[in-house]
Amino acid sequence: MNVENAQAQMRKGVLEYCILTILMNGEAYPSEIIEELKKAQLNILEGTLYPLLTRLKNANLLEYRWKESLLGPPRKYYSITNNGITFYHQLHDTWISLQQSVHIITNHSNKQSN
Amino acid sequence: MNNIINLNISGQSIPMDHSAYKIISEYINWIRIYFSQKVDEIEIIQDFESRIAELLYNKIKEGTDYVTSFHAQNVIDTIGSPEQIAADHGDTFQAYTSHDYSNYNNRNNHYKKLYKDESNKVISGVCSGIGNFYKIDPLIIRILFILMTLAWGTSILIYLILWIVLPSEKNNVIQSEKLIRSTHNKVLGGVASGIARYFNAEPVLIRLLFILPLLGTIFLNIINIFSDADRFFEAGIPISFLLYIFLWICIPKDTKVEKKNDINSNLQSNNNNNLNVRNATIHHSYSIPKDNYPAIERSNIFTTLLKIIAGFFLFIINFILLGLLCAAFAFILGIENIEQNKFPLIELILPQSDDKWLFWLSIITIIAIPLYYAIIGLIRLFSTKNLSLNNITHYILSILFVLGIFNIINMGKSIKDTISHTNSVNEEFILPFTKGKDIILTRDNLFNNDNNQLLYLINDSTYALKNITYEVKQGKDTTLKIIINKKSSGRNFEEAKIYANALQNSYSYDSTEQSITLPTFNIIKKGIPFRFQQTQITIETPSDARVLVKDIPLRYHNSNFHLFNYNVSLASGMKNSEVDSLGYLILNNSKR
Repeated sequence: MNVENAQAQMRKGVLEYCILTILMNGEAYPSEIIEELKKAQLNILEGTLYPLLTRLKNANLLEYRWKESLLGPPRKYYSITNNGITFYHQLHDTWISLQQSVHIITNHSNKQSN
Repeated sequence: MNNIINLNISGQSIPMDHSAYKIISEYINWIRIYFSQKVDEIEIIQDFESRIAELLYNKIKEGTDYVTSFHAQNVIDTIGSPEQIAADHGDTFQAYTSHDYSNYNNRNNHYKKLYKDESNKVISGVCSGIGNFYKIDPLIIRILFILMTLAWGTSILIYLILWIVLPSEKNNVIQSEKLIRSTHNKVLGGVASGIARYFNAEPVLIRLLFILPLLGTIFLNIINIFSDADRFFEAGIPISFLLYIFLWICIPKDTKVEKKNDINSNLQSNNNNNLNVRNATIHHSYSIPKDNYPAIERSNIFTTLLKIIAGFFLFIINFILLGLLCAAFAFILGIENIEQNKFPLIELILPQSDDKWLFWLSIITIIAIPLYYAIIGLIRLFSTKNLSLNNITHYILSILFVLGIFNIINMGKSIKDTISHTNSVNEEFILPFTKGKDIILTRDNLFNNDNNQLLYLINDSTYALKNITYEVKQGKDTTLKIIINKKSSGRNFEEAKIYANALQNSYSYDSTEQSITLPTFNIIKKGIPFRFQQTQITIETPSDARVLVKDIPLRYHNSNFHLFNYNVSLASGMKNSEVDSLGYLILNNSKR
């Protein structure tokens, strides 16, 4: 058990939620998704994002269409599906309640250690 | 000297030097093996390779001629190194050896099943499954199945068995190059170019294959060597023609797959002489869909020559069809004005006269529809205008054409039925004869028939046919007889007899002159259709009588049963003693 593993696990947990959130705002290329995450200090490798996006697509939470690009080959342009929107809302509720729970526990333990 | 390798990644050809090639190919191979253990392996690997290609392509566009190890490492750092990717997934990084690579390749081959691909099916996915298994475009498998149906329906049985036996899967990925018709490198329909593109061959060679039977036939005819080979080539001409048209119909166009950029041409044109360029692909056990760039278009003398040959044939076809069309219209519209030597009115041949319009409609359809396509083909061949039609129009025209052909064949059968039986009627008359006097035979000159016309329209639906045959027989006894035999065809014997009876022709006999005037024409009255009616008139003469014949083509049986044929022109070959000063042919002269 090392800390990098645990950190990766934590990140992995919220990653799906963050991606769905980004796509709730509109269609995006994978590179744009990475940009958004980077701005929020959530660095993720492209090599991690692509498998994840494919997995979400095969779970019917996302879909993509090919967009022709003058700069080279066509690229996948991802958007969220109706299933994905439902999923997002459920994750959102979970996130909110998790936040509250963790907030309570950390406050409680802070009080205790004070 | 630098070794430049054009590596094919995700359908793009990226030039790079040797060290970059090593780095990139190792990276891609690692990605493949690592993700081969996951679900959705193919799509993920596709995404990776596509992104690698995109980033490398951008490096080229930024101004470098080829990718170096610096660029390659940069790209890997952007996407993520193998160690980082493994870590992100919670795995420990594992470098792979060549042993692992070969295991990977073998495993992929060994465990690969044959299945039906339900995500890409036309009927049941059988052809898609087979295509995925062999890495061939399912379209090719479908075409082969259809062609094999010609071999006594073999493929139908095989297909049904496969449908039942193969397991189903939904793969969502076509693992082969797509077979399409080329839109911008085409001579006729882009069939040959499309096939060449699929097999990475020269379009010229494929075109050669299609016209090989024709060339072979011409060649063998020129050098005048005939063996069994010439039958092979001759048979091949319609086969290759029909095959081309069949493929033209089956293979679709797809401009998205066929892109217009070609970065290879840029590199080749900027190529320095100390760059040694070769092409490479990373060997793998299956092909990921390639969106190939089309081959660089070379305007060939050969291509132009092919265009001229094709145009020539199309032009001739157009000419013939146009002529037929005009003739058909002339028949329909100009029927009242028949003065020339034409066969009887169509309605008299057809079983029922109402069929007349259907008949002409079918004829016009059969001529006009190919004419239409031939004209469009000609226009397309020599101009850049893109005349395209709806698929629906094609379907409708093809169906009409086939209907027309069926109709004509059906009518042909019915017509055959109407003349399936023959019957005849005989009439005999004994004419008074004076011994010692000559018998004179002439014909009535109805219609002043100087130009040898065979058919006359007397009025609406009464017509005259000049098809009477004449015979003179030297009889054994002393009577002069005229025998009229009227013959006709019909649907059955009774009908044939009725039609035979309905023939009208009349002769006249002048007993003083002993001259028989024979009819020239058969008269067929209103309501009786044309059913190959004929009349044979036989004159039996006493054995010692002399017969003088004016202007009648006849057969003459003398008493020894020798047969002489006398043509009406009485031209060469006749001895002068057989024709007298008035132009009468003298028969049986020696007996005098």
